[in-house]
Amino acid sequence: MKKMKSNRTSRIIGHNVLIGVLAFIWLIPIVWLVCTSFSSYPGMNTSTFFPKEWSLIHYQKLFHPDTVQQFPRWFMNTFIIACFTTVISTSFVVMVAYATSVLRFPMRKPLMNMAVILNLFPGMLSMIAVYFVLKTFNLTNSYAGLIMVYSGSAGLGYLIAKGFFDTVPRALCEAARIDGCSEARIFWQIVIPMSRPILVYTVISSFLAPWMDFVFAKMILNAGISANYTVAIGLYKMLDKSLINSYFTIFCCGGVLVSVPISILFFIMQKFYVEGITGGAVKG
Amino acid sequence: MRVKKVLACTLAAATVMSSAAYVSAEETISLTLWGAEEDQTLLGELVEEFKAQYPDQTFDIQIGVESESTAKDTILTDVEAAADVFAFASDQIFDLVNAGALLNLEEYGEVLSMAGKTLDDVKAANVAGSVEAATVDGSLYAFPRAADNGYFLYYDSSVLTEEDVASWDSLLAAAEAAGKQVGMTLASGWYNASFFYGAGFTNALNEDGTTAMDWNGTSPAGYTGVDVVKGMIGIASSPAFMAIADGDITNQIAGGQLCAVVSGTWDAQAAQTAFGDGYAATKLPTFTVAGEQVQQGSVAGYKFVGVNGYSVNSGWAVLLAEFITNESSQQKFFDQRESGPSNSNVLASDAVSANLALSALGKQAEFGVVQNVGGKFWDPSATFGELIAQGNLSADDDAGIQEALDTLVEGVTAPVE
Repeated sequence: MKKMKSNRTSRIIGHNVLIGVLAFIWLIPIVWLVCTSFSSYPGMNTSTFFPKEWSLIHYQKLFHPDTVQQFPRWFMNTFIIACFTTVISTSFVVMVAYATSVLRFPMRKPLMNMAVILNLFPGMLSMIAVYFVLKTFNLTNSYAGLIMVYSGSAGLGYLIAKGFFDTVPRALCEAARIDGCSEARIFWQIVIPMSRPILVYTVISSFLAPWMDFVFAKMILNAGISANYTVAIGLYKMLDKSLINSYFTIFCCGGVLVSVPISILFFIMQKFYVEGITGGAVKG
Repeated sequence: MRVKKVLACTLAAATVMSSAAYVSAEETISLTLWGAEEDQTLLGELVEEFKAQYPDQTFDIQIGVESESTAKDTILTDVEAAADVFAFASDQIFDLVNAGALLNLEEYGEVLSMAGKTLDDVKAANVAGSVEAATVDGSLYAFPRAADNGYFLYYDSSVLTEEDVASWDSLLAAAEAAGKQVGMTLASGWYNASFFYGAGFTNALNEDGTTAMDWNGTSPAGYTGVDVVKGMIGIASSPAFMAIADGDITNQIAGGQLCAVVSGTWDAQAAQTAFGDGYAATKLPTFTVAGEQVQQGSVAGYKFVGVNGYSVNSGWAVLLAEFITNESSQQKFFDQRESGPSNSNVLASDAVSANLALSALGKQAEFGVVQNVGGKFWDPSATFGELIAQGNLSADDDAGIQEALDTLVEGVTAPVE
């Protein structure tokens, strides 16, 4: 009995040490980024891990745009794009998920399969085609084009949300339908309130896609007008050979600040997330 | 295309008749201009001055950011979407011309009369090398704007004397005695070609886009490629030599371990900070090839401003490109950005000769070679430089060196698919 207990203790210790080591390894780059962003030296320092002198000066510079870096502007641009994308793609995902989960219509299964298979192809494959289509419609160098690209195929990622909707008791929907409730009302007043966790998940993931995207933004916003950049392109441009020596630390500051909205979003949403899961569990 | 023709006709007409005919010219002219990020403020000023030159015409000129060094890649992604006027580095001119991304300026010569000039004036105003580099098949394709895309030697005169920096041997010996190091990037075809060019070897670009290279043979000056490599190994194997990774030079200068470094004007600030009062610059040293001292060559690079071949308002675009590169603009580029002018008058001014880095560049320019190479040049030559930097080749292994050179030439001269 005693032996078993000590066995268990050592296993727990072993697991935690392993987790600790992995967490340490994963955190190194982030710690480095945060530390470097507080360096007083503007260029890239590869000789020491921690900066030699600490300073807040580059954060100040980040908020005083010059011709090279216009971080506040880029931040707003990206934020606007991300907000629109979040709203559009979340509604796409939820609507598709509802249709496939609750409604019954011909070709439902084949359509679902097709959507899943389509979603397996990386979006980058369509990049060139997307570019030329947008160019034809004069949508390059416009946020509308970018938002369309980000949210256009969102509906294909319905699978997880559909799985969640499947757990909403069918009897509730049927009862509502008998009482003469429309599909829209069932969707908004019955299914959605019971699916907060998955809604949160969808919102976060659809916010992250445009927030962190570089490839499509770089391709579509190709006029080189600095004020129209998104954060990702703007930060990337700072690493140009001729700029890196005076902008690297500012770049790091930007990198740190980019994570702020994501963290805030997660903190707000986390409350609902936990609430949704536990609430759902009690209802059984 | 039609608009272009109409504009060309209008301009031609305007030159014949009075300029009054020109005043009625149609609506707003939209142009996009691409330049390096660090030049944005200055470009903004120049654009305002350009507008002021033609008060009767309304312009909508947007300034975008595109570094000279990456201009080609961005432009060739979609030439039609690229800017009307853009700055680029001289080595990109062949690819840009081949893609039709550059306007043949010879066909727009008469447009320049709007600015009171001819194309020959432009050619005469800039140093011969820059005009030559901007000319493809006898036609001028871009306006030279700067002649500072080359490298030379920065050194700390409190550690090294002028005699020390005359040759690599004395330079390394003095550095070693002082417990310091001399830095240079070897793992880049842009830097390591300097040794071969010094010994008389060449590169050329063939019509089909492949690169011609004779580095594995014997140069017209009578040195073999193996001799040159031995000289390079002699330098690289010295404990006082620091082989710097491409792009890491500024960081290493700031590191404080170096007393001399091979770099260009872009590092003037860093070198000044690191060397303090000892800050000095001069031409590259000589190095030993087959027992003789040979002056190390260098790559002469220029910055150009070109006009997009697909530009709708090409006439105005040519005028804008010319304006940005004219004498007074180059003077401003020098004053504000310490950019080495290609305009002979600006180059001869006292201020430019007083600039240590630019005058060193001028001294080295004599040994500079315009590097005409295709896209296949860079990777093999970088690898080759890395071999030497890592000490993988030994100075007494002639066959091994010859083999490495053969591999290099084979890689560089490979057909372009």
